[in-house]
Amino acid sequence: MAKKILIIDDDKIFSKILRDGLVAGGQGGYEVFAAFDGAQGFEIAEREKPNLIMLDLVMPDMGGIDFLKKLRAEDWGIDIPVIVETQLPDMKEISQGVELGVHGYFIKSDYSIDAILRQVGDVFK
Amino acid sequence: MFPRELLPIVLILVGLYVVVVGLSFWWARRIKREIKEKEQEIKHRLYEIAILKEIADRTGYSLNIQKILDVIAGSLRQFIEYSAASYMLLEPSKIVFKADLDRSVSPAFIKEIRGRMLGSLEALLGRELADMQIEETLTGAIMLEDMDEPVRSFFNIPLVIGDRLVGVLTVAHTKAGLYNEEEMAILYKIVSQASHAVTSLEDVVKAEQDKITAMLESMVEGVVMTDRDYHIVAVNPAAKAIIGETATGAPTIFDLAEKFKGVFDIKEKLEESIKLDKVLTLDGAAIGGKYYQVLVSPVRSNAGPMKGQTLGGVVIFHDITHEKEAERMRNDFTSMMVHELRSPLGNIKKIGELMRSSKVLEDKQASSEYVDMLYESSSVMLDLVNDLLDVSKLEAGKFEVAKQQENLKELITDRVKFFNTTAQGASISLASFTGEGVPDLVSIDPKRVTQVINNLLSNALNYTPKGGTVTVECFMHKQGVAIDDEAGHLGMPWVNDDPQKTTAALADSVVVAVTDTGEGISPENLEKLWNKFIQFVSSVRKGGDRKGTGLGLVIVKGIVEMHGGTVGVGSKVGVGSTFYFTLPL
Amino acid sequence: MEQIEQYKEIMTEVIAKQSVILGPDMAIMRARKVAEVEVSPEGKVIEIKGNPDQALQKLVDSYVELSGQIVKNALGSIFTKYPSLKPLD
Repeated sequence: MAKKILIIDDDKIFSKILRDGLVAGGQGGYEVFAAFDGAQGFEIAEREKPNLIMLDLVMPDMGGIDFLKKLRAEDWGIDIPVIVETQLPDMKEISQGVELGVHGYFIKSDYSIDAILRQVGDVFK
Repeated sequence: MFPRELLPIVLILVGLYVVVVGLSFWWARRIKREIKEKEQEIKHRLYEIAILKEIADRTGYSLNIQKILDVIAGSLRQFIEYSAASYMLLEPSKIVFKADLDRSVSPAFIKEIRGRMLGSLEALLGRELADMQIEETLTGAIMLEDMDEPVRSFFNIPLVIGDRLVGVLTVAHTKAGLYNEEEMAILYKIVSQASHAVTSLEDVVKAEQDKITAMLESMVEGVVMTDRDYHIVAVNPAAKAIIGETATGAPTIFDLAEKFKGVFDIKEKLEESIKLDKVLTLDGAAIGGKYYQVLVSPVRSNAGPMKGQTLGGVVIFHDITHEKEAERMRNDFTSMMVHELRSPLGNIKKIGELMRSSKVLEDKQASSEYVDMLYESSSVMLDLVNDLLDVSKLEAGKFEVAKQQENLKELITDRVKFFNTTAQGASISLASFTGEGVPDLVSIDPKRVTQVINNLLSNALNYTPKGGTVTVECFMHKQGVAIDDEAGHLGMPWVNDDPQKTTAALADSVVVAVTDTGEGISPENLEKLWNKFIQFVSSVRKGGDRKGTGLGLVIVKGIVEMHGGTVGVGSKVGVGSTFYFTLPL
Repeated sequence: MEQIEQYKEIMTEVIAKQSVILGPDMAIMRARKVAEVEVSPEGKVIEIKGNPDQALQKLVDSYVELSGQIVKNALGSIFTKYPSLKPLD
């Protein structure tokens, strides 16, 4: 059964890169959806109930943490694994994320696609 | 013996002799008395001076009345004989009674003095003192029951400072008639002089205190002073405003501590500061929506007999809300700048990673897609880096414009042509107007002025909806006429910003403007247009919707000012905006 | 001569009051130095020489010279008992 991964990130280029990387690296095992803001992300999450959400912390309008709070308030959203991504390690935001229950985080520009794939693989083990 | 005829002469001579001798005796006695009187006078004066000097030496500039009394009472011993020298000092809650015994007396003697002194105070005050607590201290010889001599000589000297009675100094003896009027009068005089000195000193101190109070009242910083027991002795209006409403109107140390609860323990800090004799600085204390830098320092007496002693502490509140805000803006700017540069760079690197796979390289469509993405990311980065560099140069004063004689009109025409396609694509009509008399050649840096017009035009096009109009205008400005009037005369569209017609004062110049029929800018936002921090941060926050780096206008302003010109903007929400700049001739 | 008697009384009272304030020794010593009055060693005014008004003034001034206005203020209550006499300035 293909795992559904939802990417929520306002950087369209990064989103595309990540999607391509996941599709290629998952070898057909990952079905990837993309949303470009928190509201759109919530819509798709509710509809698809993904097995993993990759969430950008810094987004205009509804930011990553706000989305996460909204997600965790839903019955169907409480258990969905989330990996947060950010450009800068903001300890305050990361600890907020940890409180709301995230599986991990990575720094967008520092992590290679392979490293990200490994993290995703760990979630599904 | 004598001839009888000479007898009368002899008698007269003897008589004269007697008179002369008598007179000389009398004279001698008088002179002796005069000398003795003079001696006495000198002795009295010396006595007076000696006591005053001793008082001055031993009290220094002290306003401590008790100390002065102690000194006077103590010095008396050298000049006059007494059984007891004592004083009573009136304090708000008690009477201090100190007696020094030069020789032993009975308790009854002490009781007698005490009673008479109280009587004197009551007579002077016009009220009873029976209910006042008396704090009694005896020094010198001890009391003996059997020394049963009563009070036979007794002098009370009232002590008055600044028109109020503060106490009484008393000399008493078991012997009678020991003192004469002159000697005692001197004592009264001495006490009176000491009182005058203290009164003058009090006046000086009050004047100084008033000066300090005036200074404290006008200070912007909040100042709170405490004594050694952490009671607040002074609070200036600024501090009262910071502390806010209190139960009694006069803030106490508890009100202060309450206000700062959770931020820092003010009493603890005062203690620490006084104990270590150090000034403590507490940065960024957030209270009631504002930020303060708080300084806590011990207060020490730096002159007079109490020099070096700690009098208490002082807490000073310095409002740094603006500095904190500016700091925050700078931090936001910096972190956003880093974010904006790292993102495209990170993406470029990942695209490189993806393109390593032979599968991708063989896939023509994928490859071409990635190349486009590479191009876009690097362009975005380059634009940002260029803008950031320009802004840095402008701020460091190292931005240079290479002016040369250029055809401005042609440059404008060229830019309009360049943006035509974009305008058409967005269904916006793009027009251009040139007034008469614009010279063919104007001294400008063509590259930079192109940058300016590019920025203004692309902004106008971005913020104007479908069906709107963007007009590029170029005309002459003559000193004495407002620019918006000049545009009006020429029939050019113009959104005005200048009801006061201040632009009339500008020197003769060429005006270039871009007017659009876009959303317009609200007055609050108009001010922020030229602020790099605000523009950049808000532009980044717009995310994918953003147009440009946000630093464009900041750079436009910089370039125009480096040419010696001025920038201006007029805008009406829902109507449109006019961005214009002048170039000196 | 009733006036004179009143003056004598008031001056005696003044001396008595000052005896409490300044001590009997000084009060009487000062009074006896005032030329316009003759005072007994016990502080009683026996004779007034010259203008009684002036004499009273001189007596009070003598005390003021010694210890200031405050000793004069204390005499206020005495003067209220003798309304017919001119008040001192």
